[in-house]
Parts: sequence; C-alpha cells; structure tokens
Amino acid sequence: MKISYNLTTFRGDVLGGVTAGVVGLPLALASGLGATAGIYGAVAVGFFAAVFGGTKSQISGPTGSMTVAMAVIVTAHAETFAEAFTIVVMAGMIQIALGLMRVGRYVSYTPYSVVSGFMSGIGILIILIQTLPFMGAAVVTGGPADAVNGWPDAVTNVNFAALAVGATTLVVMVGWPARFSRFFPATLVALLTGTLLSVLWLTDVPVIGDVSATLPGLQQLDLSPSVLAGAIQPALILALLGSIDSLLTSLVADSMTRTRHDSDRELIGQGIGNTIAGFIGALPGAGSTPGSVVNIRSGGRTQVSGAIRAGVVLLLVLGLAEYVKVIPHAVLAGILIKVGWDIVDWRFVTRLHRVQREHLLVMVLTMGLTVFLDLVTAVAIGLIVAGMASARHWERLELDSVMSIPLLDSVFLTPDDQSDDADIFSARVGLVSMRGSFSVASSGKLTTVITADIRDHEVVILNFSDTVHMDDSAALVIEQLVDVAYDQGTACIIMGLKGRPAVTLQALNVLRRVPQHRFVDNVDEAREAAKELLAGSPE
Amino acid sequence: MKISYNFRTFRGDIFGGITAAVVVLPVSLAFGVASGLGAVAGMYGAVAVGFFAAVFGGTKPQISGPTGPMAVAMAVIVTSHAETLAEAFTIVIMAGLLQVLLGVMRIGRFVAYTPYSVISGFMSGIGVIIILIQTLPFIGVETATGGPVGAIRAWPDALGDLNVSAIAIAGTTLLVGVFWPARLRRFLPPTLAALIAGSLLGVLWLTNTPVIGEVPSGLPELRVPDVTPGFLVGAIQPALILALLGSIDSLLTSLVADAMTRTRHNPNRELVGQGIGNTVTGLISGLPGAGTTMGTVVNLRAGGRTPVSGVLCAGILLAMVLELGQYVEEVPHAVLAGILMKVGWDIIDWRFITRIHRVQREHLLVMALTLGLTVFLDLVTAVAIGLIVAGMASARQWERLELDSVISVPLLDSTFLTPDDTSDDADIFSARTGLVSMRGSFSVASSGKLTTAISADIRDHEVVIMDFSDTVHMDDSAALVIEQLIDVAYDQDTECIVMGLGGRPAVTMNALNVLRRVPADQFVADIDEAREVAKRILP
Repeated sequence: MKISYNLTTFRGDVLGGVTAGVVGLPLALASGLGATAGIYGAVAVGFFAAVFGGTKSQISGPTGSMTVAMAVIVTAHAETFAEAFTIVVMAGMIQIALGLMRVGRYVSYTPYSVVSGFMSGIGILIILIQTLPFMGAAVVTGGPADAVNGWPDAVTNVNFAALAVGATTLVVMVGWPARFSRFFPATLVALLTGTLLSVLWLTDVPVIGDVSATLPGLQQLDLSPSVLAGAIQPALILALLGSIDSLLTSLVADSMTRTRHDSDRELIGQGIGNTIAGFIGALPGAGSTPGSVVNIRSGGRTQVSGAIRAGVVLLLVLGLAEYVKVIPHAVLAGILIKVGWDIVDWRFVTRLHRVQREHLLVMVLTMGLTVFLDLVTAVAIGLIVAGMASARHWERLELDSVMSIPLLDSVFLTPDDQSDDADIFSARVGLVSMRGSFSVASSGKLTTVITADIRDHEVVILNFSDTVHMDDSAALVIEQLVDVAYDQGTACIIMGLKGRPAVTLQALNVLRRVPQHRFVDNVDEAREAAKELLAGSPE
Repeated sequence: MKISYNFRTFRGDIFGGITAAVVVLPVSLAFGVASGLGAVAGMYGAVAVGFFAAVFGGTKPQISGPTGPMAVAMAVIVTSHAETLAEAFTIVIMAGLLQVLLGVMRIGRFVAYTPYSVISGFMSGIGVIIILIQTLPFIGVETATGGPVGAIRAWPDALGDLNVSAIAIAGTTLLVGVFWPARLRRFLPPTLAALIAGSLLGVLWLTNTPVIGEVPSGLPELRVPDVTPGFLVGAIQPALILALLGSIDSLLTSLVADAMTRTRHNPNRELVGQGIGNTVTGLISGLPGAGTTMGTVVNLRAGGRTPVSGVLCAGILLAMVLELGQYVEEVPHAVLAGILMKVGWDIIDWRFITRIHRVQREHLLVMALTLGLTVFLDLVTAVAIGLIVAGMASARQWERLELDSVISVPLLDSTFLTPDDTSDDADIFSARTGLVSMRGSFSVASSGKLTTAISADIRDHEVVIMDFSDTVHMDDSAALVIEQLIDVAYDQDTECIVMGLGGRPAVTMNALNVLRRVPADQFVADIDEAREVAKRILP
C-alpha cells in the first residue's frame, strides 16, 4: 500500500518517534552490558532496521527477551566481550541469511490465538515488571517472577512521592481527551506532567540519572576458528529469537494499521541492525512491541518515525542527557503500565467464554508461558498446540471425504448381463475413494476406518482420481492398507494416481507390492483388471 | 478387541517374554553404562518400567525398558541438571508422575498427529548420537562428557591412546551382531550372541580392556527422593523434558505394535502405565525407560500378544540381576559399544534416507532439520522445531487448497436482480452485486492471502454477498480476515449481505463478533432472500 507522505504523517512520525525513544530508554538502560551498550543498541538496531526493514511503523531496539538472552550469552557462552559481540555479529548475519532465504513469510501462518496470547502475555509482563518502579523501588532485571518476589519489600518501603508521580502520569495517560491527542499525544503530556511534578515538588523520587555521553568505538571481534565454532549455537538462538520477536511485532503492527509488512525484508533489516550493533559493541535488538504500539498510537506510520526515534535516542545521549536524567522512573512506569494495558488483547479476553475451547486453550497457554517461562518457548508451544488442535479438525474433515463402498458384482462387473445365475448380492470388489487431501491428521484413524472394509472383499480398487494432496504420513497409511490387503489375500488395483500424490507415494515406495499392470487410469480399465483377477487364480 | 486367553496365547506369551528378555538384557546393560548411572541401573530400569508398564499400560504386547532417547536424555540430566544421584532420581520420579498426569489429562492421543518426517528425523538423530558417543569406548577410551559434540571433540586425543584389544573386542562384537546367521536367530538373538562372543574374548584373551567393574547384586534399595522446594522448582524443566520424551518414544512404539498386530492401543492408558513404571524406577535408582521398539517387535515375532509376555520378560530380567551380577562385572565396555553401534545403526530410518533424492522438498527439509537439531542441539527442541516447520510447510499446502475453493464472481444485474425483465432499458453489463463463496474450510493458512485475493473484488461492487452456505470449518484467524473484508467493504461504502451462515463457523464468528457492522436484517438464508435484500439496498 502506497502512503503519500505529508505534514500530518511527518508530525505523527516525530511524535511517535520521540515518545517511543523515551519509553524505550528504561529497557535500554537495564542490560547487563551497561547503559551505553543498551543505548547504542537502540540507536543502531533502531536506525538500520527502520531504514532497511519491511514494516513501516516498526520501532526496533533492545527488547526484554533479547536483553535476557544476551545476559545468558555473556555469562555462559562468552569469556570475553570480544567473543560476546562476535556472537551478536553472527546472529545478525544469520538473520540476513534467513531473510534472503525467504523464511520470513512463514510467520504469517501464526494462528490468531497464538498472537493474541503472546500480546496479552507481553502486556501483563510489562505491567508486572513496572509495578516496582511505580512504587518507587528499583527495577529488577530478572523478569516477572522476580518482580512479584519484590512486592512485599516494595510495599513496606513504598515511596509515596514516586507513587504520586506514577499515579498522576497514569491518570493523565488514561484520562487525556482523545480530541487533544492529535496535537499533544497522551504519552508526551503524561511524560511532561509527571516529570514537572517531580522536579517542582516531589523531588524525593528515583530518577534515570546520568546517561553516558560518548560516541561508540569499533568493537574488537574474536574471529579464531574455535570461538566461531562454539558461537554458532548461541548465535542461532539469538537470531531466531530476534526474528520471531520482530515478526510477531510486525503482525501486531499490521493488525493495528491494516497494512501488510514484508517479512523477508524485515529480517534483512533486523539482521543489518544487529550486525552493526555487534561491531560497535552494542546490545542486539528486535522489533519492540511496546515501542511500535506507542509509535502507531502516537501517529507514526512510516520508516521516518523509526529513524527519528533512533536519532532522538542518540541526541538524548549526546545533548539532552542532563534533561533526561531528571525523568523519574515512576513516570516511565506510569506510561508503560498504560502501554501494557493496551497491548492486552481485550477483545479476545472479554469474550473468552464464547470462544471455542481449543482457541481458548491455545491463547491461555501461550499467555501463561509468555509471562512465566520465556517468549520463544511460549510461541513454540503455542504453535504446536494450535497445530494439534487444528489437526483434530482436519481429521474429521478428511475422514468425511473418504468413501468406501462395496460394488455389487451385478452392477459393476456385469452391467449388461441380465441373467439370474449370479448371486445378486455378491460384492467381491470394494471401491475406496480418497477424495480431497490427506495428511498426518487423519492418518491414525484412516487405518481403522478402511482396514475392516478391505478384509470383506477379494479385490479392492484404491481410487486416487480426486486426491489433491497427500503428505508422507498419509502415504505410509496407504502402505499399511496395501499390506493388510495382500496379507488377507485381497488384490489391489490403483486407479487414477497422478500429480504430486503420485510423487509422494512413489518416493516412499509404498505401492511396491502392487504389480505394475494393476495401475489403471479409469473405472473401465479397473473393471477389466478386476474381472481378470477374479477369474484367474488368486495372487 | 476381546482376546480370549487360552493355552496358545499363553505359549506365545512365554516364547515372546523369553526372547524379549534376551534382547533387552544386553541393551539395558549398555544404556545403563552410557547414561552414566551404571549397568545395574539399566537392569533395574528394565525390570521396573517393564513390569509396571506392562501391567498398567495400554498397549498389550509392548515391552518397555531403557531406550536410546531416554538414555541420551538421562545422560544430559546427570551431567548438567543434577548435582547428586539423589537429585537425578528425584527428576526421574517427577517425570514419571508427569507422565501419569499427561495420561489422565488424555493428551496421549495427540501424539498420533506427529508427522512422519519429524519421527524419521528424530529416530535417525538418536541413532547418530548413539553411534557418535560410542566411538570412544569402541576404541577403548573413556566416554567423553558433552554429548555427541563432546565425543567428536575428544577424537584427536582418543586416537593417540587407542586400545587395540578394545577395538578387536568391539569389532568382533559388532561383526557377530551384524552377521549372525538368520537361521540361528530363533535360538539365540544376535545381540545376545554378540554379548557372549565379545565378553568371552575379553575374559579369555584380551584382558587389558576397561570392564564394567563392580556391580551390586541383589534387590535394589529404596531411595529417598530429594524434596527440598528449591530443587523441585529447578527440576520441573528437565522432568518435563524426560516425561515428554518417554511419552513420545512409548507411543511411537505403540504405533509400530498397532501396525504389526492390527489392533489399536489406548494411548492415555499407556502413558499412565509408563508413568507408574518411571516413578517406581526412580524410587529404586533405575534408569527411566519407555516402550522399546526392538523388544516389542521380537516379542510379537515370537508370538507374544498380551501383557503376560511383558511381565514374564521383567521377571526373567529380575532373576538375572539377582544371579548374574558377578558375571556382568567382567563384560568389557568395548562389547557394549559394539552392541550399541549396531543398535544405533538400526534406529536410523534408512528407508527415508536412501530415498532422500525422491522425497518432496518440504518433507526432506523437516527431516534433515529434525535430525540435525537432535544431534547438535537437544532432543526436545528438535522435535518442537520439527513440528513447527512441518506445520508451516503443510500450511502452504492448505493455503493453496483453501484459496482454490473461494469463488468470487460478479453477478450481472440482468441475470441476478431482474431475471424476468427482458426489456432493454437497463445496462446489461452492469454488475453492481458481487458474490463471494467461501466453500470448504478456512484456516490461518490461507488467511494472509485471502485478504489480498478478495479485497480488490469487494471494492468493485455496491453490494457484496458473502456466501457461507458451504463453509465446513473456519478458525479464529480466518474469522478475523472476514472482519477485515467487511471493514474494507464498509469503508468503501459497499453493503454486505451474509448468506447461509450456520453451525460451527457461525459460533466462531459470533464469538469474535466479527460481523458487528452488518445489520441484522442483512443475514439471509438463501439466494432468493439475498436478491430481495440486494434489491432493497440498491437504488
């Protein structure tokens, strides 16, 4: 979709970029590699992913999951910083490779219940983590469980000034009238109000504090073969994590802006960003859901917002550090709690009682795992469970389209023969029609359904004329059926096998027990073959 | 299926039980040593899991005991998740309880939805792991830690101090295992012949090789599990992995047994049985196990059909533990390595691998990916990613099939609105109404392209009839696409008529409230009513 760029779009981009820049600051600061690495990660990944990426309104930077993954790498996989950043560079290059291999488009096959659970989980995650700075306690880096553990402490030592500042910010966020939002977005107003409140009266609150103000230098990398070999695994994990994180954010952005992103280009953009982040010793990043949501809500629609946001962060570091350092953590917490609330997929949550049971299960499972385990596992398990649940549907549909019918001798073999000498109820031939598509979903029950029918006949015609699709698991079921037939002395005739199903069946050689001349094209040839089989000695 | 138990069945069970015991014995010793818990742990595992899984399980002829995947997983747990043996066995007990829970929650049946390419890649991967790990004891060197990668890393050192006697013993064992004549198999299975031949060689001539060493004989002691809360929390993850692996492994074996006996197992009961077995084996310091394909197959071949054969097999093994301990001490590690090499080779799915060039590309990708990740990353991640990629690949197939069954046609005013009006005053090429027929099933697979495919058509008309009469299935992602389509229509001032909506698709769409913009009087049952409504709407 072509968007004409004009002043309105630009104003939206600027406001979106500025707010996202400020909101992303606490995450950038909260990394194991120091505040500078976090901020430069936000600048490098944010700028290059915006310029080269495929999601127009995406904001990228160090995300919660990437920060956690990087902390693990620094402590467990790398002995020096040089090794750690070599892993980051490799991860970036793997992402570019994934993009070039066009793996990105597969992310659009993510079911809605998984996306919904993931988004609601992220929302809850943000709210849980921000409860601590909201009450004036320090942010914990460990995740929601540590945040909840910190509650008793935080409640007993609650900082009322921080609470007041946080609450004011939150109230402004929630209550700011929609008609003013076009000129002054709620986030910016809330930020200014909360900060002014603390600067003028409630000075006793924890603030962001000193922010480093130097340009980054080139990071020394460690390219010895042994390091590179050991780095593949963590680099792959980091690359996959960043890709999933980014593309899920792209899906969220799509559903908010009613546009469609280019997944493969997005991966290339993220990869370039992370490669450069590694070279300058910065934290790797990904498309950040909170950042992008804030950006879109504030009006950001094009790559310019992402680039401006990166510029804002850089300016904050270089020039505005002294102004930024007075922003209280409680203000950021107030803003982020509202952001978290908005990310929760309320449409799905409020209609939980009417949603189908399996969608509900997938959504709740993904949400719970996102909050309490980790993002990648949550999405992986969500995808698997959603796949299993839909396999049950396919099973029903696929089984419905198998037809197994006995063919009366009098009708099938001797249609023109009007004599009464034959038993008119004899049905020595059975026809099994595999119509439509067959996959692993129905393969389990298919055996049971058809096996019984096969035993009753002397000849079975397996009709593949209307088969559109057959996967390898279904092909193996056909092998079992043919085996059953021959073990019971029933001969098989294969009818109308062609196209991709034929390729699959032949690749696995499942029809090896059926003689070549029993492969026929249509029912007339099948009739001839059946007559021949019934007349001659049993095979 | 009801089987009347008579003398013939009993005789079959006796032969089956004895043969299975003979096959399970050497493998249990070898897996016990390979897992790091010792030979006797393998035997205790074979007895406990074999007995309880046979009595309480849901697959009648199944023989259970230590298996490749379980031994590989247990080795990882011993080296990296547990500090003491008490902790390791606590994890085993938890895994057993989790399996019981999975069975009670009726999750077993979903295992049947695992695509063949994933199973094939996983089994081949396990085979490769076993072979790689056993290369070290094969040449007389101590097993390295760190799984298959650790074994490869240890190769250069190992070549320096290889033990020629060990290689001779292992080579002999392997040769006997591979070339044992088929006609002698009925009396002495190849694994046992190989064990005896290799051990005799080690005891009589080549005595300077590492042997199993002291084996405690007698009944196992009950071990008190470690139940400190801090440890239990950390143990959940490895226990879950062990439980899932054991479940998948057992149910895959059950499928093999089903195919051979043409019966159907009860997957949920099987999980309960396996879970009880693993709980008990954890209490008596045994190696956890699962249904063993090799044991089950020889049991069936020898005539075993009911749980009596499994119980007998466990009983024989128990007698061996009590009596044979002193003889086992003399068995060289190289003998076990030789046996496991053959076992690993047999686990590899050669049918798939030898036909790789003819298999469809996406099945090949899934299989190779699962295999690679199994060997170089870990078993659970491999299966998870295999399942996800297989799901994505089949989503592409569904996408094509589902899009084919959408029909979007313009309806000529002259034929649709005024079929009886033959006057020439109307523009005969005017088609103000469009019909979009959603036939068949719609899922997340096609939802991405569906929007693009239909949006354009919708814009061209003044009224669009959405026909759901032939919709069989619609998931939540597809329902949201309908919402997007209706939004597009109303934003372009196109009115929508919803036709023939009923059944489960109606439930899904109403739950997500996707049709809220369509007035209630524009829901119609058939094409005649749709015509009336269209006439009313069109000026």
